[in-house]
Amino acid sequence: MRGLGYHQRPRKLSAQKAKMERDWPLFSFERLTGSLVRWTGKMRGFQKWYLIAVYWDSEGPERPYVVLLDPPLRPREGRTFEQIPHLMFNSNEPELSALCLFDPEGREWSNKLLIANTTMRWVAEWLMYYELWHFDGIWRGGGVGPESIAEARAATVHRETGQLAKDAT
Amino acid sequence: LLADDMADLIKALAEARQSEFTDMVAILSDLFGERVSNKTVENFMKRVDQRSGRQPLRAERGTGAIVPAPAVAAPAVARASVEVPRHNFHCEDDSKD
Repeated sequence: MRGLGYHQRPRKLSAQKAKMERDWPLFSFERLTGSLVRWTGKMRGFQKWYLIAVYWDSEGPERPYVVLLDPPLRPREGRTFEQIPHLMFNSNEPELSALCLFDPEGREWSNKLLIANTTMRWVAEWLMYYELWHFDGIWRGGGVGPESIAEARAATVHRETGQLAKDAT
Repeated sequence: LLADDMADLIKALAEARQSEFTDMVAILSDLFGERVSNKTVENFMKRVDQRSGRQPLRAERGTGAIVPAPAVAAPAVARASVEVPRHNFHCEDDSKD
């Protein structure tokens, strides 16, 4: 992807940690079990400050997982968690669903990139659009595919019902 | 009396500055009336919609606060912010696993 400093090899944890310390001084680092690490700290959305956690397996190819801690993720008044845009939806604990910040098929993130330069800035953008979405229900940040899990599930049901009707005739 | 009113105003504006957008609009409506706050929000949303997807956003270094487009023209603000790399938001359903 143009404009991003791709490295030849996966970035080492030390490089990720150093860049996070430099660019995001409000975040603190913690080593969890094995190669799993976590940065916790505050980031400002459109107006409000959010306490967030970034989980990352420093030895695997997996993307970082970002969850809102305080205030926690919440749907719009009278609506459901499934309707919140752009999540990696966690059915068991919806309030702990991670933010879905990029299209995996678009190869927009890899562990050759720095979390401080990519994931963290995308979170800042997500938070701004999330706050505006809470106000009027319009997601202004764009994206690919369905906007929410509710939309994705509705599309699946629609497709399956259509197929059943087709098979029946 | 005026001093008290001004103190209340400052307190309410400070609260608005730390609130979520929805709560901020409610505070502004209390202070200046619904007509004024609605018009302001409408103009703001129009600007966000016009800008949406046209150019990369910039986030303030350290805090992540998104910098308003007109402010980026100032060199000091541009230096204190970083570009948000282009990307596409997405969504994934764990019940498909």
